[in-house]
Amino acid sequence: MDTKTNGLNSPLPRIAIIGCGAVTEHRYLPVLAEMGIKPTLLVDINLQRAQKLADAFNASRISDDYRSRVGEFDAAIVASPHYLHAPVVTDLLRRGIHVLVEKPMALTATECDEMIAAAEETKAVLAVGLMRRFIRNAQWVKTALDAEVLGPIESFDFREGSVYDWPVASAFFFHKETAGGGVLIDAGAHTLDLLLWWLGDVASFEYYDDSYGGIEAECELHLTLASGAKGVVELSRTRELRNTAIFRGRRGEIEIGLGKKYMAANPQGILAYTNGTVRSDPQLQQLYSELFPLEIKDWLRAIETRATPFVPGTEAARSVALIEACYKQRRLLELPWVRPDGHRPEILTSNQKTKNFIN
Amino acid sequence: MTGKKMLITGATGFIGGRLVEKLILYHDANVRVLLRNFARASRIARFHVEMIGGSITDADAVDEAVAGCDTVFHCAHDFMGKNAQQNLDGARTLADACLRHGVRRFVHVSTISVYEPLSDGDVDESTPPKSSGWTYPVNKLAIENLFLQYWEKYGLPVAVIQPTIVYGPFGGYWTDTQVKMMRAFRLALPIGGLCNPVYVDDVVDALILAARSEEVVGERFLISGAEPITWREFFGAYERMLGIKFVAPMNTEEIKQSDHITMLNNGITSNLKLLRRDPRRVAHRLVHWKPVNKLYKLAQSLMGKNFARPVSKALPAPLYVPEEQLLALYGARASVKIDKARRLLGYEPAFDFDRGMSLTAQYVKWAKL
Repeated sequence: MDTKTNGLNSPLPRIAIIGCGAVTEHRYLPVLAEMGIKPTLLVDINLQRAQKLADAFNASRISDDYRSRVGEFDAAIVASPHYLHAPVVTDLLRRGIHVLVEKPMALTATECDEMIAAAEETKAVLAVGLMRRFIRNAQWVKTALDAEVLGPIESFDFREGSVYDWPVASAFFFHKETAGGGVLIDAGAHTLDLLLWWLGDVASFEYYDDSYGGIEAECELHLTLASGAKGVVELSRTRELRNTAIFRGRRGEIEIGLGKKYMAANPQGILAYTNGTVRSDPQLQQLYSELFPLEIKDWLRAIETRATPFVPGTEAARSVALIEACYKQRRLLELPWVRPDGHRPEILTSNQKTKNFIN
Repeated sequence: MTGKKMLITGATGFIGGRLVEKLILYHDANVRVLLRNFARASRIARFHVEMIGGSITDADAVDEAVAGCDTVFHCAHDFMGKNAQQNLDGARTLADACLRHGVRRFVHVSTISVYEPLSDGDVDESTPPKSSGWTYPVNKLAIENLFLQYWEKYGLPVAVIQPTIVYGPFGGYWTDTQVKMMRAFRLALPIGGLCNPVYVDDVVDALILAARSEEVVGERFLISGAEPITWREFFGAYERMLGIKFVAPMNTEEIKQSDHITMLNNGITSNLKLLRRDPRRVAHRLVHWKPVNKLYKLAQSLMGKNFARPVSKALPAPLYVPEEQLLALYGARASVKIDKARRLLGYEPAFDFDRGMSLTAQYVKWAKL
């Protein structure tokens, strides 16, 4: 065990990072360094890249296979390609190693169940990197909606999109087999997690995306919730959308930024609601670099106290199940300039339903 | 083309991106791309595409990308002036790899700009290229000549496509950039200049024809729409689409003599002139001063974030005066002839301007440009 405590009572666990892609380079390693935590081991199939990051962030060791180093670390941050999340995390948890896994937690609900069962079996902690739940205004929305400050929610409208510029280090992100999908499983993992957390379970849905055998850059999800509320989620990797979520009830509406600072309500007095501990702050700007330390500290506290982390596997599994169901029932989102003459290519199945874009 | 391996460079760009779509949707091709930046791959990743990471100056990556390909489409071009040499070096690396691997056809995307500055009257492939001294045309002409030398000396089976003013969905300079410009400026446009627009699908079809036809090796082909229109008509279509007045018609001499050109220059003098002349610019600058900014934010919190929009809309937009190269393009009364492409390639534009712009308008609305 490392002797540094970083505000925790027990010594820190020895931490390995599995996967040395962009999120490790630009988020986890800088944040751990800021927190004074030195990772014990960096793992990547590309040893050159692992060494480069180990040199830059003072990590002790590198490896191209974590299995050869079991016994050298007590906890692992898993930021590998999406398709490896389930096998790697399940294996680690079965060995009693605590895990913080990047989103999406896995590609299927079954994989999530196996991961959750493995954690229960060894009592290892399984936390999922859905750090938007740590945004204070997002937490306020949760308390305000639970308290029915708008009355029962009648409708909602989520639009999140920007021109994709994440500094991806390899092609895995753009292949169906390794990424599991496109914008829905990537940004959508956050968006749908918040939606389910804020508003509850889905009763029925229709899902459309623009994939022609690859991964989608655009998608639309039309939802009816168990509560009866209806709404839409639109996601894009090629367009700047509104980047907010709007909730409408009989008593007014609330709008909160998705991936950006924004908070508003109509009537404005709604923003004054508090449950005594959580308050809204329209001026609050919480950058992602500020959320990662909260997420890591929460995970470390859960390991120390054997408590449930703020975003446990059971919570993250809900959005994975919805995403999986969407892909199973997908219909083509037809953009008029793609096949302006109505040509029907081989790669479209004869009965595939399509839908023209909406605004 | 069914099942044949096709390499596309510049596939994350405007023309290359649409080429990927059409090769797969309409020709069932087996597409491979060479790309520098995976982050820009969202659009082409919608298809089952093989991606190889690397620049065209990286000989190993280029070799890996070209190996086993029937056809190579070279759409990549770095528009940064400082990277002109890199474009040329990459072209040579690519041509060498194509020769080494015995590629059946090499299709190069060049530009009408190699003939700039355009003269009034007809322009066809026999029009002698000029030495304008402008970076883009000079660089593109050097690359085009390099490939044609590779044909003459080494037998590289190259065909060169020279598109004119390419517009359409995801359309780089002549769609996305123009729409953004129109929302911020008015354009000082010479009266009477001719535009030779072509919808992106027509360009892509010409590229595919160049990959198929036998009589095209060693040839250049200008690719345009059926008829030229005026630049006023070209921008007019966008004005109607956006409900914005953009064009300020002026005669060329008037524009050249105008001190409005100073707004393109940096420096205190030009800023002062600009501030004096344009009240909206004054407002834009004032709002960055701390005391004014505090008041602005207070007003925003009281009246909403768009409180200043009606005021801003009421003020005239600043005038944009095109730099020398663009001014020459907008002023020329050049009519591009596509007879050679019709005869040898079998090219016929399928999109007239109205139809092309109708699809473009749907894209602009959807893209929320």
